Amino acid sequence: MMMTAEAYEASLRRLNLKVYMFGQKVSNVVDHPIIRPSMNAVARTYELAHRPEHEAIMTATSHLTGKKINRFTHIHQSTDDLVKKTRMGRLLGGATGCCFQRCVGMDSLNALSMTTFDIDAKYGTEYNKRFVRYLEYVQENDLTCDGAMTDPKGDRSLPPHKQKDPDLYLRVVEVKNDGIVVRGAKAHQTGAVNSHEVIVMPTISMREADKDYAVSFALPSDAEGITYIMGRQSCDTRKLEMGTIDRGNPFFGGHEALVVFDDVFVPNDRIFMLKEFEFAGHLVERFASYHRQSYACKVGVGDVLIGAAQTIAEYNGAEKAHHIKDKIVEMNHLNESLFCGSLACAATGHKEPSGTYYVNNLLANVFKQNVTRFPYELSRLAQDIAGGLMVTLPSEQDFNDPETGPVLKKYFQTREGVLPENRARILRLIENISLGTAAVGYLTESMHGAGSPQAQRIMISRLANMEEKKKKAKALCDIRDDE
Amino acid sequence: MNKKTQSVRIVFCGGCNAGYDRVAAAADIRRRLKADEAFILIDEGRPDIVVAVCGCTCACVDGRSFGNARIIPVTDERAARDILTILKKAGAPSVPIAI
Repeated sequence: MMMTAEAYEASLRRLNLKVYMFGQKVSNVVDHPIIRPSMNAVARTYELAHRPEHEAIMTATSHLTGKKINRFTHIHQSTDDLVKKTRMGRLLGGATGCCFQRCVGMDSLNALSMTTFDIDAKYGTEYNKRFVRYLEYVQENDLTCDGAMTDPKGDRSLPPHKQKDPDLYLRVVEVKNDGIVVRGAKAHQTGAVNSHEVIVMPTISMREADKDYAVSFALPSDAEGITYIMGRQSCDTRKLEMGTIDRGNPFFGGHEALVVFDDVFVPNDRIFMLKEFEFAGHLVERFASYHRQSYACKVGVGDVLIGAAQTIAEYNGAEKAHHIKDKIVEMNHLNESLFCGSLACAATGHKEPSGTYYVNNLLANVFKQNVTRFPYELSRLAQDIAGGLMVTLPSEQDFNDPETGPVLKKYFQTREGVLPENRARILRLIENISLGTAAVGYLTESMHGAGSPQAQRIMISRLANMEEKKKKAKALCDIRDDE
Repeated sequence: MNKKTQSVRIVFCGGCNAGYDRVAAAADIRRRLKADEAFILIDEGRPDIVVAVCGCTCACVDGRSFGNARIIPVTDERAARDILTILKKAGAPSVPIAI
């Protein structure tokens, strides 16, 4: 049954998460002012699924039960599903102006639907049967899943088994009759403390010596032995201040955490890979390609940023200047080019042996490579249009102070009819996205999330069919290699 | 337009990048259709006509679940305002009309 946003929030309150931030244990995760906006963003994925005007994108029909489910728990059954996933990303990016955190679980589920099937085909194991039962549970309860892939990795020149500290990649430390015990950590976990479940996957391709690290499983997010240590974000403590203007986006945000697994027990029915090391890279590649497609969300955030840039241009009385118009055109060009990439890898996807539809891997990597660049240029243009006031504007408290407030309102007035407060709000929103808390998602996550730029270049190099390109060139200038 | 009353169902695309307020447009369409005896609005099942309120000209509504209903895409506010004219002009075409 699909949860409402209210039911989602209530479900989080029932979790018993062990969360630390600023050196203290967080007693009330849901209501913590720094975490709360990120919970609001995930709640939006539930809320919009219940709205008739977004139902076509936000929901799907389960291939397991035939029931209507939230698309974030769906296994893609067609290229139309993949296209709708891209559209959903743009919709939610625009509706929240930040990372809404739930795509990573969807991508983990889809990748596992294929990899568990393929492991079973080779070894006669029953991972896919387990996975399908788990998927049905996730769909039935409309759960948010954290997809946990990235290990801390220690010395990058060494494989997992040669690290000085063996826990720098998450590993199996004990195999029991009824399950396994794991130890390690997953870094950069977006939305971790807003999740009901955590789905763990290996982070790199592995060889036999690393087989203890080739493990995939799912656990309730509050399982015994799991600890969350929240990451900081630029300007995060503004959420602790009085007032909301300086937050830029007072409603929504993202978060990341280091998730530590301290000898955590995983029952057999939750294990989806155990030491089948040759499938570690298989799972990583599939998850990464889906997740690269997921960066369609940045198009939605780009919509917000472009809208903010146009608004401040109008507030400043600069919107008719040719160079401003041209910069807005360039911002739209970049943003829609991103949309093209995500749509293209979705529309040219294909069906895998498991029945799951998989994105066009080459195009997903090309798209994500552009995502590592275009949001930076979009931010540069937005800051150019916004002007320096975006970073020199005094605080909201100064605007409210009886002594400084009138002075600021006098000197920061602009086009007639524009309230100085609204000018401050839109400037703070641009600041939020381009160098504040939301820049974590819009910029650095665009750079490194779903793989850093070089990861995509390796894939592009591997997937581009150079022999066919050479053949085409040689044919047109009449080179005959066989002569 | 046939004299017989035709059932109409209003549906939405997903609205990934809507160029106007589709919810307001749908309310406008609903109000206009309610005022015309030639049409009866239904919220479930297979109607004679589906008015698909879409955010852009892509008009990506999946018509498969509506049987043989004619799908009339509305892709801007003007088309919403002119819905009665559009439906009456459309008569009973076998394919969706472009607006």
